[in-house]
Amino acid sequence: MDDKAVIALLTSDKNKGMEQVLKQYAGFVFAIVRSRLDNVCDSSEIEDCVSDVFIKFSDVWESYEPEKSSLKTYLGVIAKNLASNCLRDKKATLSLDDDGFIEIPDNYDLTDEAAEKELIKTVIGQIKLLGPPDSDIIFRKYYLGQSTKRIAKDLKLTASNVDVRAHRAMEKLRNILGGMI
Amino acid sequence: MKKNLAEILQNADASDLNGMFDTISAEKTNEKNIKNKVLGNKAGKKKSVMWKLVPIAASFALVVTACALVIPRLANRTNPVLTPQGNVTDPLSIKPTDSSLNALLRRNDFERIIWSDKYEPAYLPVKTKITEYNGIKLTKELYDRLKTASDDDLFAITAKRDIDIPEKFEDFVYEGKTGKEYLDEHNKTYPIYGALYQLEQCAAGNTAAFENHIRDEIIEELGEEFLAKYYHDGDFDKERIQKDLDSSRDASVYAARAYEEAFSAYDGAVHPRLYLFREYIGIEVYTGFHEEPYTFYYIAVMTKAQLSTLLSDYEKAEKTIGEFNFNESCFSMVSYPEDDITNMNKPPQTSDETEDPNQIPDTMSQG
Repeated sequence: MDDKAVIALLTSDKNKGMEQVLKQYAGFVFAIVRSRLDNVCDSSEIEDCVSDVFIKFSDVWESYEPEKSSLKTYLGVIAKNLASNCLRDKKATLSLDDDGFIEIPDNYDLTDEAAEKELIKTVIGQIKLLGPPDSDIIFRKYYLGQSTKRIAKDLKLTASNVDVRAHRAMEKLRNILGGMI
Repeated sequence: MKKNLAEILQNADASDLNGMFDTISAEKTNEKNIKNKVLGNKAGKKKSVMWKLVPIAASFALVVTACALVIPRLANRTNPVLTPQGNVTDPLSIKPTDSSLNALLRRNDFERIIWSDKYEPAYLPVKTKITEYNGIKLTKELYDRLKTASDDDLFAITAKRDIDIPEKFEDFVYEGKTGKEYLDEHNKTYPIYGALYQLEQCAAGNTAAFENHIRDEIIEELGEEFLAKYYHDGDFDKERIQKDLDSSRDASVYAARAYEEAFSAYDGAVHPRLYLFREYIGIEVYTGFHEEPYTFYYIAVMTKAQLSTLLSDYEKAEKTIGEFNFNESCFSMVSYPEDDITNMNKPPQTSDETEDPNQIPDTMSQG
């Protein structure tokens, strides 16, 4: 069922709508949550986090705007954020990769919300322009926090291939963004 | 100031990231457990109510079946739709109190529907008045409704299409190639590009990584013959690597896009969504799927303005929308009984018979 039909269903019968959302996206949300919490939480905690994602969605779905993003993306963002919260609760932190740093000019005011939003938009725009599979690798590595092994498995690449591509893509991003930000 | 990409991205919202999750595949999970946690006891309560309804539903089904058998005309004209609840229903029989409405349209939309097609052409009442609009035959009822409808009123029209859909993407044919061919091409070009990427870097000086593992990986994945083209006598053929890297990148991106396009077409066919309707005039389309034979049904719900666009250039719309056929009872009476053909091509014999039926009704032209 497409997004609009799911929303129509939620509007007319929330319970049935949520059943449909669960049916369509439980496996997807599980994939995101698990890839982030795999080595930190046990399976029941992962399941709890997945449930929390849908509970959160059932509270906020009315603010979902189909013209701005797909339902999959909307749920993906909730899943990633709640999984990050679970990590924080566990006091586990993702190590920040040395390769992942980008130089931001000192005059760039990141406390200004509009400036930060603009930066995010620019960076994501450039990541998308890397094209597959590099854009997928960077997104998975730096947004979802997936391991190299995991990315390699999902994208049918070797682990070293993923690392090399990620390194090259970051170099490329740094060069491009250096001239843009 | 240095900032990690992970930190920058953590505040991205869904609109920034749209499309980025598309390659994340679902994993097997215990959906039942999650459902229980999310829906809690509500699901349990619902089940008990459902069980109470079973005898009522069964009695209703018996009555409907009996009616369908006694009145073959009714039995023949149904266009079954599989609603999200899994009930096969007749879209034309939908009424505002029918619970299946919830699955198909927002409640408010239903209240706004002022007209829906009711008959297959063969079962149109003999006295039905037919009029013509831009060469398209319409029932007088639809014509009148178009004239009096307000901008917010909606028209529900059934469209259907019969196609064979293979069970697996591998067998699905898209633009002359099977899904398997797209997949193979994708899988073939992807590792070549990756290997050349690595070779390029190794040739630039990172020979330790090459000696340590990259050489073995490339041989394992693509064979010694492949590697020998770019690395021989301890030297990298930088020129060839660069040349082939550029072409393999293009080939890889092209194959990936072609694969995505083919898969999207398959997805669109298996999970019916009417992209074309939406693209053409922005019509909201609600879909159903009937398994035997594989048939998709659509209920296109449109405003007067949208219907007017469709009618004003029906041939173009038909061409654009391709194999999707609107219910003939709306627009053309090709199988209408011979005796009544005389009614066709004539303006309706009503009080407004002086008006030119080929003119857009006033209220429509404003839409």
